[in-house]
Amino acid sequence: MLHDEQKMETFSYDDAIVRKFVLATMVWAGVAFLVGLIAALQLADWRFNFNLPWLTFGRLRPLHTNAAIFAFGGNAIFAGMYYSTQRLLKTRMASDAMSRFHFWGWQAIIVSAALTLPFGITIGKEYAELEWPIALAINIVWVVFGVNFFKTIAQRRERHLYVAIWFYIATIITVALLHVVNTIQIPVSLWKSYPIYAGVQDALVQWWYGHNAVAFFLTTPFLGLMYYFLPKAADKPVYSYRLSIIHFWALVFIYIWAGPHHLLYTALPEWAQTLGMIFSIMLWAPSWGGMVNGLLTLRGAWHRVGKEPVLKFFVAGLTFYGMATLEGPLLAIKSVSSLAHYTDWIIAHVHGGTLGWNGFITFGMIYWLVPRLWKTKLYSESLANVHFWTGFTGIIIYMISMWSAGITQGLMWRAVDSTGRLMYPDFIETVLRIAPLYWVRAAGGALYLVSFLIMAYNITKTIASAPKNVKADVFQAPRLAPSSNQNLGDKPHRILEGLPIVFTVLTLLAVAVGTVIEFVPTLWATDYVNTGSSIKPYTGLQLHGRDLYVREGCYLCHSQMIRPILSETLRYGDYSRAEESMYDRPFQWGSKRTGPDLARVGGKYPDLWHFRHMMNPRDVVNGSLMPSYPWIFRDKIDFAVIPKKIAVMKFLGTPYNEQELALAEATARAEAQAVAASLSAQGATGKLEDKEIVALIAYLQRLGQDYKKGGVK
Amino acid sequence: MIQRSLSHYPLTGLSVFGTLLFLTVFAAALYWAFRQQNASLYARVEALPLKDLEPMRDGEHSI
Repeated sequence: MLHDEQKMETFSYDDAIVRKFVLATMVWAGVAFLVGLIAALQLADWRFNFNLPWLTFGRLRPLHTNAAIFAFGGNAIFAGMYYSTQRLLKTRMASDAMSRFHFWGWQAIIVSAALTLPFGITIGKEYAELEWPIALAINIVWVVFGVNFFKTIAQRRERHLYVAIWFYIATIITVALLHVVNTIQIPVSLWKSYPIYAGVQDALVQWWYGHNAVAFFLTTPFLGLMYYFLPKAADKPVYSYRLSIIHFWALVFIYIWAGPHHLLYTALPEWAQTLGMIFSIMLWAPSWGGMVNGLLTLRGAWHRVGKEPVLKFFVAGLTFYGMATLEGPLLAIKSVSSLAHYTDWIIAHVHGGTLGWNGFITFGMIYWLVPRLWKTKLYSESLANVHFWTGFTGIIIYMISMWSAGITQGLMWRAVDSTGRLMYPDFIETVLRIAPLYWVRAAGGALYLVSFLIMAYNITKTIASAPKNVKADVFQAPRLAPSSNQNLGDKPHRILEGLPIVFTVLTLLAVAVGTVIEFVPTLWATDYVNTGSSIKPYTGLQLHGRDLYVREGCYLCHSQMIRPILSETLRYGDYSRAEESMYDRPFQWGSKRTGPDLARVGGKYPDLWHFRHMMNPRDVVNGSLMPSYPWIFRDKIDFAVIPKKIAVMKFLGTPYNEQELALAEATARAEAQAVAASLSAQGATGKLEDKEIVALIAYLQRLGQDYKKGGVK
Repeated sequence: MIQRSLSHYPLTGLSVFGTLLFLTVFAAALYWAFRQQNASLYARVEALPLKDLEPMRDGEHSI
């Protein structure tokens, strides 16, 4: 029996799938960086959208973030995971067909995103914008990937699961949980749906997802890659395997709690905010433990860092990880958040993480992988060094400009004079002060893009120099003996041998605890939301206008959440209450104020002001950076879809009655005529009653009105 | 702030449970990681990325 189990088996690794993911990483990196540069230029000068709706910032920004996170980052982690998993487990992936389905399915999802987001087809939740058919496809592709991964673990030839595999397990199960829960939607049509959550619940679920997408898509898988590729490149084992165990468990347990730090000083219950802040600060320890473990892996090899580009990228990537994970908890402290939130400081923070940590770890990995996958030498180490220094300089310029812009604007927003009045009451003053820094940011981004193009040239030449028709290497290894303790030493190790199931269950438990506690406000929403207030649901036309607001990505530059901070209440009015957004699907609290908060903008200006503002913002706000929206003056309102929207909202619990549902279209038309008549009376010309601008104005004029009428206590 | 937060917190027991669970898991991981008996295991497993299988030479295999 023992003899049979020890029988040698012959196999090869599926490196074709790794090559595919590496090439896809390169292609989508170019797209993500280019789109990011265009978006950065648009913030410096709005005319870079060329008045094209599909190229406008509000539609382009989700494309940029999706391309950077899921296309560039996603393909990079899949390339590294497929390569390292097979070698660490000494087996081929369980199913080539499932690997190919994963690859082509993921590329199809990315292409679908690229074809829908620029056309305003979006759920309107950051990093989860893709509409329900694509979200469903993500779930399917992810499950296939997970099944293939776990089947591969089941047929492994190495008993022990190296720490990198633990991070991959945490990634696979947690991303599945996050995405499924956050994208539960009720469709209105093929390309339109509403989330089942509303207002404060939606905010909490969204940032539980959003924060942990960073944790479990941009952190844990990259840490797994770091634990595999850094020792490979340094030719030294990880500094402390013990520390990696502590690192793993502390990180997965703590990270999941930290989501509410995105909602500090909002209408979220204060205890949830405090929990988010405390657990964010606790994250310092495991994050820095991981970084130190990575850097100390280079003990005795530091002299090689100056010469070898792969090590250079890894060291810089880890350093950026350290910076980002120092800055993140700092920003999660309420008093710091009150200054930094909604400003460009956050933009500096996330780009330090993405360009520095994710980008540089990926580039180091690709420089290491490509010569081995194509069995050739890197075309030019000098070019790789040029890539490093150009990219590094680009990141530094980017971050310094955005730190400066963020802190400047944050301080200007809160500045009051000796009489207690705002020193900069016009929001545009604070924008114009930092606008030059937007050019500096674009220059930093351009440098990063140029550095990537140098890499693309280097990698292309490397692959072109590879020999043709290289056969896959063939290996021999014995099958893993079931429940054996051979080669493993003492008894307790056998507990560790059951790792696939034990680890998966424990990891799920670790993330589930924080999840359950954070979701308490969702379950006990009535304790925080005054449902007895006279907040009314949106009318059909306002609801349609709200969807246009979401379509154009207005929430990416305007918040709808006035924090209980003196300077904010002086500028915008009384602070926002949870019940004010209780019918908002999705919530529109926002995360950035390139423009002012809009929670109480209703009634602040006449209809004609909004009309002119949307036609050309500079007509009413001198120096405004906001793009013009000429197409909403041309495009017609789809009145026929409004009853369907009302029906879905009613199904989700919004208190529309049967008559409102039956008369939804007629009521919306009548309301549109009233707004159009108001505009005409104020001097606007043209046939306006069926144009989208009318619906958008109806929505904007509704914002904050229930509060002003005394409906909120 | 903490007092105000806790006074509006409906499920103190849940967070106490969560904290205790975390401390338990953390202490267990700490104990497990630093057991002297595991030293030989770590010496082997930490080198896993460095121990690639040697590919067979042409003529040695038939797949």
